[in-house]
Amino acid sequence: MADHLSKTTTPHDLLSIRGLRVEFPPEWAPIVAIHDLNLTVAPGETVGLVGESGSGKTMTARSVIRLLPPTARVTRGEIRFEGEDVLSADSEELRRIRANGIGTVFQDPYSSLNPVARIGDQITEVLRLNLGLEQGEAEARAVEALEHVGIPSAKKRVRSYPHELSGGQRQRVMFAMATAARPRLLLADEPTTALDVTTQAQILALLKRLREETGLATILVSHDFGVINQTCDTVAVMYAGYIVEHAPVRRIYAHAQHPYTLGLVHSIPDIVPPDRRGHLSTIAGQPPDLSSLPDGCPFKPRCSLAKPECSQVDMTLEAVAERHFTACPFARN
Amino acid sequence: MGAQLQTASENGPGSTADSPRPLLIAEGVRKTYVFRRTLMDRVRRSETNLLAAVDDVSFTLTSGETLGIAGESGSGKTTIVRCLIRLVEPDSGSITFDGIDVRAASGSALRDIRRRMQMVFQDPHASLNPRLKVGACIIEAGRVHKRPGASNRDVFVSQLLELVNLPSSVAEKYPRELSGGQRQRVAIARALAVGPDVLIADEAVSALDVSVQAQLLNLFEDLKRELGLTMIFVAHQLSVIAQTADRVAIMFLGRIIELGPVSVVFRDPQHPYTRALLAAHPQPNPDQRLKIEFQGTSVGLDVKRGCQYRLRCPYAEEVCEQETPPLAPAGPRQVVACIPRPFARVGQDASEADVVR
Repeated sequence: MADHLSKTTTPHDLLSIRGLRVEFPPEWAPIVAIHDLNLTVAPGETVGLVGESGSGKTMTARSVIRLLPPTARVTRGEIRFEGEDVLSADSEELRRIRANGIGTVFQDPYSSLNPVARIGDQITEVLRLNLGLEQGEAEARAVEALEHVGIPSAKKRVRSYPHELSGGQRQRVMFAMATAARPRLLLADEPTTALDVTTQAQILALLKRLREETGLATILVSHDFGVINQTCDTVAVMYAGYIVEHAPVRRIYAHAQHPYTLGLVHSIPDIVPPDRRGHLSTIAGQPPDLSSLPDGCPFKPRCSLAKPECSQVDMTLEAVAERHFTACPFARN
Repeated sequence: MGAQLQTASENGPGSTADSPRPLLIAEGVRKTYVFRRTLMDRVRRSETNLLAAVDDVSFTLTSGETLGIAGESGSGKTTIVRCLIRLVEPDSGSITFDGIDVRAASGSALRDIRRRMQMVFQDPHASLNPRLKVGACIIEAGRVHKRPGASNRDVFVSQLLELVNLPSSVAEKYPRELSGGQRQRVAIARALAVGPDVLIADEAVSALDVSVQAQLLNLFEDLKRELGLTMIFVAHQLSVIAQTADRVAIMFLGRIIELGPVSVVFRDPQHPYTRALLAAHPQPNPDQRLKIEFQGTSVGLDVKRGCQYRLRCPYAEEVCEQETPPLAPAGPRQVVACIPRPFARVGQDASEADVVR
């Protein structure tokens, strides 16, 4: 762990998460959603969190702004945003971080927008409360923000209600709201999952443009390796609450080391039809049951390379190459 | 596998593999929904707003093949497959299944059509009864359709579960106790319990994680081979279609705009929309960057005449405004609804397009 941290943590980190552990209280079964997770984001960097449902990628992103479900508890660890301790921040400090430090965009724009308020009013409200702007100034900034995310005739559109917009436009409005206060970090949790593929491509292009123009750092959560690899600088692959591999996207695509990452990359169906129809490669077995994980590596029951020693693996990330870390000690050689 | 699970051979002439006759023919199918008129619309006596969910769709399905239907939300891909078994009543057009007029069928004839064309839906959580154990759910399907073998409950259920690679202990579980992938396997087992010829999978793997999705796609491939099934695969994920289908129909706002063998359409798409769709697919290889070959969104229902896609199409010409493009031969067994044809292959024309649709 020390090895991984010394190589990835610098005083200039925008966000650093150290030893984060998130648990659900054992009313039915004790569940650890995130195990001693370390992650850093440099200014302007885009980090992808990829994994299957239940892998903890959304929990990780939400813990950064303390937006965990009410039953979840952070039992260990530290989260620092621009040096400030997020986990011990009081409500006023937390409000300030959420207001103009970290913007968020979630999967479903319809449930994130107020259905009975005009979108212009919703953005204006954000700007007045978070940046203390006057009404007139905030209105002008709202139009500007909508233009910036590519909403046509933004002056008219500020008067629209969410239901009058298409899914892609609603998601653009969410990006406008999330970035209107000029945050340094954007949390985007499956922002294109509910969208059609052509709209998705437009939103990903928008995300890229916002980053290039404003130097915005991003944590992008997605189950889709295509989306991650098209957008991110580095990617952390999560399984059962652990980061099992962390590397630049090109390394993950071409030189993945962890058996789970390899299985995941190989089970992506190719868009080029095969010459002869055969079987897709798959990962054997079922997704893990978080209430009864095995000792050691949680991937062991599904792993084709599993051996008895896997029960002793402590899941710390060790370097295999520059900026490339994996939790599997047997994949490393 | 027991005799009661044999499917393709027992259901008449259309289902034998070497029959030249298509198993299913859809001809000019149309389904229009009427938007509710508000009071203001009535006062203004404005025109009734119509939405053609499926507009003049024709295709055939040959026994033993897998037809993929792809398109974005609102393209009508779900509506057309629902029309096939009359979960949605089409307004016009004809649907012939194994020589039977589906639109005229009623009573036991319709019930038999629905038995022979079974659907698997996207969300098994919604399509399985939460209060029935898996075994009861499968046996119920078998009993309703009076399947031979359904009287021997345990054997019937465990054979079907084995077919979808589930242990027979699953029979005693409720759907909520299963994972998403297992639930979808149960939904497939229930569909197979009635001995269908055609399996219609409507976004059946869309809600699943990628590793489980690959397992399910392999299962469909195995079932197709073992049981001689014919399949229709509806999906918005083009990569899923690429891996499963023999032929693909691309839909846009209610119409098929391109149809042909997957190997031809995906390697050399002829319609600008098909190209845009393929280009927008995010490649897992970070060096193959996304290209955006389109503008705007598919919302635009007021195109009364001409090509529906022309408002987004970078290749649109004047003729696209005047005429609604018909599906015309474009290559080997490939048809495309585009008049300018900006990607037409040189030296290849209609003479090579033998069988269309």
